[in-house]
Amino acid sequence: MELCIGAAKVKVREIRDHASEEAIIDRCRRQDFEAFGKLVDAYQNRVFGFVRRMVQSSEEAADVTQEVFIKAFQNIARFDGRCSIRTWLFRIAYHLCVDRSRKNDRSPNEVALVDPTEGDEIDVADTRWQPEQMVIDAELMTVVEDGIASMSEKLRSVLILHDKEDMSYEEISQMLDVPIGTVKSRLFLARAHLQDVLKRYTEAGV
Amino acid sequence: MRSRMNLDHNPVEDSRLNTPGQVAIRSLVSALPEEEVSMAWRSSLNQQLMQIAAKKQRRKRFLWIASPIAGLSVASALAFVVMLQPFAHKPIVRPDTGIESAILADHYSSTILSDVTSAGLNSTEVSTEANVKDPEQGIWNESDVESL
Repeated sequence: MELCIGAAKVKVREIRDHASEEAIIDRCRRQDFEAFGKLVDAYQNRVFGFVRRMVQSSEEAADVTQEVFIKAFQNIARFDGRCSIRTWLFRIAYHLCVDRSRKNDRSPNEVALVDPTEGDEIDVADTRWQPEQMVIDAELMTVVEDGIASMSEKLRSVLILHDKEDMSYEEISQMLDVPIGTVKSRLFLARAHLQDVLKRYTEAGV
Repeated sequence: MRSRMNLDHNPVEDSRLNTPGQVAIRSLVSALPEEEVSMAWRSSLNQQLMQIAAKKQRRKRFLWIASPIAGLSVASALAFVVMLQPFAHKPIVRPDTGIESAILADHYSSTILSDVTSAGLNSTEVSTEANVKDPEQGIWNESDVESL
């Protein structure tokens, strides 16, 4: 787990550890450019990572991420502190991604929300593709990324926010305006879909 | 459709999310490589943010100057309206030229005369109290009657 912690995460922790996030946000509210720069430094890669997996291309992701921070800068005075700044930024990012995908109409690529347990039972004890035991190579990563990209936005967003960004169910529920039960259902389905994708991949490889 | 409705709204128990397969997927997703933005991206963002900040600053400065001016303009317009209003609705009093009082006096005198005189008599033929020097002269006596 520590391997996946990048410089951005370390910076976020620095902000939190020194309990200075509130102070930085206060300065941002007063249109302090330098303070907002610190906020961007802390979250830019995480927001970009999320957006990158929500839109079609890197270029589009870069544009959307810029838009996220521009919107945040323009509206930071309205940030009331009821949720964390991270949740707020991700919420802006999520809504911008949804707007983009509506424009691009990605729906033909989406997969249906079908209960995987209704059909073929997935053998979770199948040791052929236990991630801890496998070398996580570029090919596998590509398969996982493709699997994530083939999900509907609803599933994809929950999977990335929970499993990649370590957000709690409550935070995701608050961010997406859905009940916690729905968040769990979507997470379960997203993981099941990815299990299915990986199973097909390993079976094809054998 | 049935699956979509049921699974999206029926909560999943935590135990189903903690099965080995689900946990494995979680590990796999969390191990995905970090995405990083480029320096050019950051530079471009900074430029855009600076433009927005400058625009906000200009707007703030404009409001700082414009709002007192606007306030003063409104106040002076209100004051002007308030000061002019009494004159606008005040009734016009013309100086007494004497015509009205002459008409009234004439009206009163004609009313008095019509009370005194009867039909067929010209008001000018009847002497008013002012014209009668001796009140006794105007009264008939018995000698007058006998002479008839």
